[in-house]
Amino acid sequence: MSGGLWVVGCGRIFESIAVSQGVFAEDGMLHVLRLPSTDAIANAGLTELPAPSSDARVFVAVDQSALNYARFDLYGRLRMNGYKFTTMVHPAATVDPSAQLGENCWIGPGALIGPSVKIGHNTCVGAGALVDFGASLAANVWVGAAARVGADASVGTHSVIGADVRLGNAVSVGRHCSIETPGHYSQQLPDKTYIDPLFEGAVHIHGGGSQRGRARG
Amino acid sequence: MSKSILSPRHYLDPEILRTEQERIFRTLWIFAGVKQLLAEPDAFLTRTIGGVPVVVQNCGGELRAFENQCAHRQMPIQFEEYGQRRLICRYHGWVYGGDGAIRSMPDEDTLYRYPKAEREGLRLKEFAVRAIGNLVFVNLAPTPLPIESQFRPELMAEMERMSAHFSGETIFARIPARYNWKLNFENILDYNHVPYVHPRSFQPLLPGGVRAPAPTLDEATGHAALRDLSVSTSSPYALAPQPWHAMVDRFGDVDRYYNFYLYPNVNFISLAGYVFLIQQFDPVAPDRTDVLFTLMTARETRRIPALPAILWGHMKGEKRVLDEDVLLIEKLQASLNSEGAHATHGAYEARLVDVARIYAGLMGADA
Repeated sequence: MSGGLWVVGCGRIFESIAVSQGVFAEDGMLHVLRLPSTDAIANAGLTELPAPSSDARVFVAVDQSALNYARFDLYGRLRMNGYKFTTMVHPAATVDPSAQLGENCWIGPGALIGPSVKIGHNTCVGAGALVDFGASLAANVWVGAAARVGADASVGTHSVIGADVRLGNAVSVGRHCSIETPGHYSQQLPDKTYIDPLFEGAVHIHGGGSQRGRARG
Repeated sequence: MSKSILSPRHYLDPEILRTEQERIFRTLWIFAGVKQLLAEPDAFLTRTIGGVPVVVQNCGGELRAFENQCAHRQMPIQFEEYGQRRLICRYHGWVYGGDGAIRSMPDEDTLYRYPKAEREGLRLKEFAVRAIGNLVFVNLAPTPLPIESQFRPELMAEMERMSAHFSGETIFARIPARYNWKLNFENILDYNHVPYVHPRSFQPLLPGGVRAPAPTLDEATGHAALRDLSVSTSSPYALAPQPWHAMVDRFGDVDRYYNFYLYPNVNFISLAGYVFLIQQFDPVAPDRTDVLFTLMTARETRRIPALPAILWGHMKGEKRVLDEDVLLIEKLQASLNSEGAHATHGAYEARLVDVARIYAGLMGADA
């Protein structure tokens, strides 16, 4: 086996692809390589994959874990080894022709990607989510099911927009942020801000170099 | 076995809290934050200590603590918990220098016209500040007690050595809880609760259980004194190795759970020298406490891109453990009534008895 599409990973996105292989197969050749868990990514041998120089394409399907570093670790490792990637758009998703999608992106069923949207590499948009006109998602982002990213809004790298979270138009979410509490957000979020049902208020990381959006004067 | 000298009223009465704010929180050295976030010029942190808003600011390389309130209309000078900004009031633009004196007030001659003597008296109220390694303490008393009266020199040396390993990247959370602050400090002293409250989360990480600190007694009196209430201990810790452990300068070289009890309201712990957590129990009302979590890894020896994810993951894990405590302590608080019984301490709770006795001494006749 050498060519075709290889889907590597674990979790919900991986399983949804695995159970409906016929929908996604390129020329009927879709292979799945299931990892036991995200914890296994660091030590996964991946010897079943064909050589990077083959005409095979790879898709890394790993759900949100550790601000998307679990998926990024595997994607980055395979990319360093010279593999070529594909982006997977579910047939029930709608992507405007003017939208730009990076490699190894997932656009789930029912998702709507509007005109002039830019999506970086290795970013996932969940089922039924809306990314509105002119919005931009950086690399390694996660947009959960039924979330909404408003027109001209932006989401920084390694950030998580959880299920049912709605970002208003032109709202900016920094890098390494996570919003897991459903609701409407109309204020910008500085880098390394965390909003989670586990905490009543926002949690912040301080220090560690420049942080966009923090008050200075 | 002994009945606690503290009655339920000590956990319910607003008047008791007012006295605590004055005689404990505005008298003792109180933890304010971490120094590694104050390294840059004009870096600051804010806290409320004993009901007083406080800002600790890097003023020309020196840490200074002030009341965080403009002398004009009492607007806070700094708003954020940590940040970097000059001492300028956002309300009317008054600018303060590193000594707390006013440098300038816009349109002073036309709008304010203070008499000279009054003008000279306008300044930020200053407090004593002392860093033990990367741990910053503030004392609000006009004549602060020597910090050695509160913490033994050997303990301060330990705190200094351990906190020297703090990373510059720190995650901070404020967690409201519905109980009196003393219940949380008593809870961390009561190591016997761990197998019952944390059987699946925390207990499995401590194969030998939490080790009780050795008793320390004042040489002169034979009883525990204020400075004997703050102690450290360590216990074997079942560390789960992580790839990032190889990228930091850990404290020590053994897998132990380090535990500092810092009277009146701090629990400073380290997970095998790789992760550090400072828990502070900040009184808000007789039955309200803000639990403040300050968490960091050991300092990086090389860049760890995923450090925000590591910090956020540990913060969530620690919060889940705290929630197990909060669930019970809130029930305890809710069941208290002023006419109820005193706690009955067993032999293993000698340290709780000492804490109550010293507390009563600090509170004086109002205890």
